[in-house]
Amino acid sequence: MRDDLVLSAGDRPDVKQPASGGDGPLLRFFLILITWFFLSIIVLLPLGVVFAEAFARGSSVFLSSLVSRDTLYALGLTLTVTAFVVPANMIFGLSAAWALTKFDFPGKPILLTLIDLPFAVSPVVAGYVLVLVFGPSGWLGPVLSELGVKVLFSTPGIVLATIFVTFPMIARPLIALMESQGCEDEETALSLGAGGLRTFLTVTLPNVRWALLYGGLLCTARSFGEFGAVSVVSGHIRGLTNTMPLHVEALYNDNKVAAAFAVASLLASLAVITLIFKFVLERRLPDGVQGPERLR
Amino acid sequence: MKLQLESVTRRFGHRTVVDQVSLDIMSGQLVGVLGPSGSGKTTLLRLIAGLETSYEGRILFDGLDASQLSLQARGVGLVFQQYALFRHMRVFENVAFGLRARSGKSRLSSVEIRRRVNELIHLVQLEGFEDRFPGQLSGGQKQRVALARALAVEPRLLLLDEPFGALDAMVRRDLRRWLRSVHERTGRTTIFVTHDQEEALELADRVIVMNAGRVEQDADPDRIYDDPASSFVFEFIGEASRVPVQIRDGLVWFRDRKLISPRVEAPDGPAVLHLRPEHVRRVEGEGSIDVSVVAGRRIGPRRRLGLEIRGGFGRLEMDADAAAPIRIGDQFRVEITGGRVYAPSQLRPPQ
Repeated sequence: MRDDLVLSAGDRPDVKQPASGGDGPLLRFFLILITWFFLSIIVLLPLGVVFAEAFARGSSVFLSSLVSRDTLYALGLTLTVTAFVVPANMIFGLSAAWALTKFDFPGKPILLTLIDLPFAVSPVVAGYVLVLVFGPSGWLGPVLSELGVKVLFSTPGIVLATIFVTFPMIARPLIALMESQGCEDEETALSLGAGGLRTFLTVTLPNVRWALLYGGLLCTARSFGEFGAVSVVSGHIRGLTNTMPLHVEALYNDNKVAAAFAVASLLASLAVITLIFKFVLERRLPDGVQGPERLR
Repeated sequence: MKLQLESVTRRFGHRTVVDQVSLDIMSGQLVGVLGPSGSGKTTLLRLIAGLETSYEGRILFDGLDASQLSLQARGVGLVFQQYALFRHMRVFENVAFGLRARSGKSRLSSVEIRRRVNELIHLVQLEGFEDRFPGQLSGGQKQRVALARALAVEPRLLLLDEPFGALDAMVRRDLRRWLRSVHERTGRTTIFVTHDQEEALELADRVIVMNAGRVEQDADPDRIYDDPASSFVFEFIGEASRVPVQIRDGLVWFRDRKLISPRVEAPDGPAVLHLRPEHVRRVEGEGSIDVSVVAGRRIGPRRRLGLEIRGGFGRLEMDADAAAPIRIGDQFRVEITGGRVYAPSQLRPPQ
């Protein structure tokens, strides 16, 4: 008991932990160097090449390949798919995180593991699973085509494939955060007379809003770029089911290298913009939600 | 509000966490539920609050079965160890939350809400902090906001779960006194859970000591300290030593010496005498027990001595004047002036 008294003083969440220990400056320099070196080779160099190649034949070629009908269609399709995927995954992520962290039920560990599945499974496999389910001889395919619903080789299939690949991106950070926050805020709100919906909107949602936005941005970036699973279910129909990444591949296979890199640079720009947005977001959190308070 | 528990039992799988607990808590009481971790005290509080809904037995709020009442309708104010403040709301909005959540006729105008919140902020002495976020407050201030927020809805019952557990010693002492004065002013039925016996004895009118899901003793603080109902309560509250003794003809014998002071409930045979430091007194000449000093530590104005019973019969503690010239290794005799030998049914395995 005495120990508890002593411990509780240092345990307070508002006491900041000191930063890292006294590692030598040489080691620090070395580690930072390695990190920069690898990032340069693996991330910055390819990104630079994409932009360099895109403008290699001058900006007129660059522009004309961007405004081609197929490219604009691919851009539109990618944005449409993302517009379905991100809200769907936000709703799914919130429900899953809510269920897994605020309730106790049998099968919880299995569900938690299943949520990680898309990270472990190759996207191509995910695509083929969808073909098996929704294909002409699949489990649901015949029934759906009877009803006039086309899933494979059309937008719904691409949306489904992208949802599959990206769903842990929002659910994961939410689960981690809500787990650490516990249920006491919600219990307090309910005891103060708030209803379920009010509690969700005024307590739960604000508590996780940054994690939700963060996951949403990651999910957006991934939806723009998803190739493997989409490639399997889309059927590569130019001007119909080609998303931007598929369009890049198609152009490249047609030996239209400059055009391919032009579209690739557009895709890369979308990703970079998303990340810049995330960076700005992290830097500009309001006063009240900083440091340990935010993470708690 | 009058609260009654009738044989309330809560099991988690095969584990019985709250075991046949029956209590009657009168309106206006300030009750401390005291026990070690795992004794079921927090679960008991959660059952009363309605946060746990599956249990056996009955919980009655003013005679009404609480299982019929939703969490919202129970009218309990909750305060948690980790404050559970809404971190994205300023202090004012935190306190106003319950008032804003009301609907229909009981809804207050914004002028009324402002008046009421300001009153409460005055009560918890946080004027000037209305526009702070919880992250900008100290632990003690956060806990006062949590209390103001709970009081805002005028709960019938105030429940506090280890309310001062996350605060450092000085803050918790201040808050304890302050909570006592708030209770005296508001007169609200209040139950708090704690593992700190000092906190329970100082703050509560009535202390319920729990162990392994059961109520060991339910009494006022004086009785809890002076007349512990079992060896568990004796050892959990205050300092306790044990001495092996023999009971013969209802009298306590330590080897060949008779101890007349202890209260005896055990039958004849070997037994354990429970003692507090104040039950041991140094005597010159004839005494009951030969001891040598093995340790000494300062406790407030006195010095608590660790004494080894010569002959290898265990250890005792006694208090001496801080200025008394006693050194480690000194040998003397002590007399026993109190203590208790519990009946086997009152013995609980030591923690």
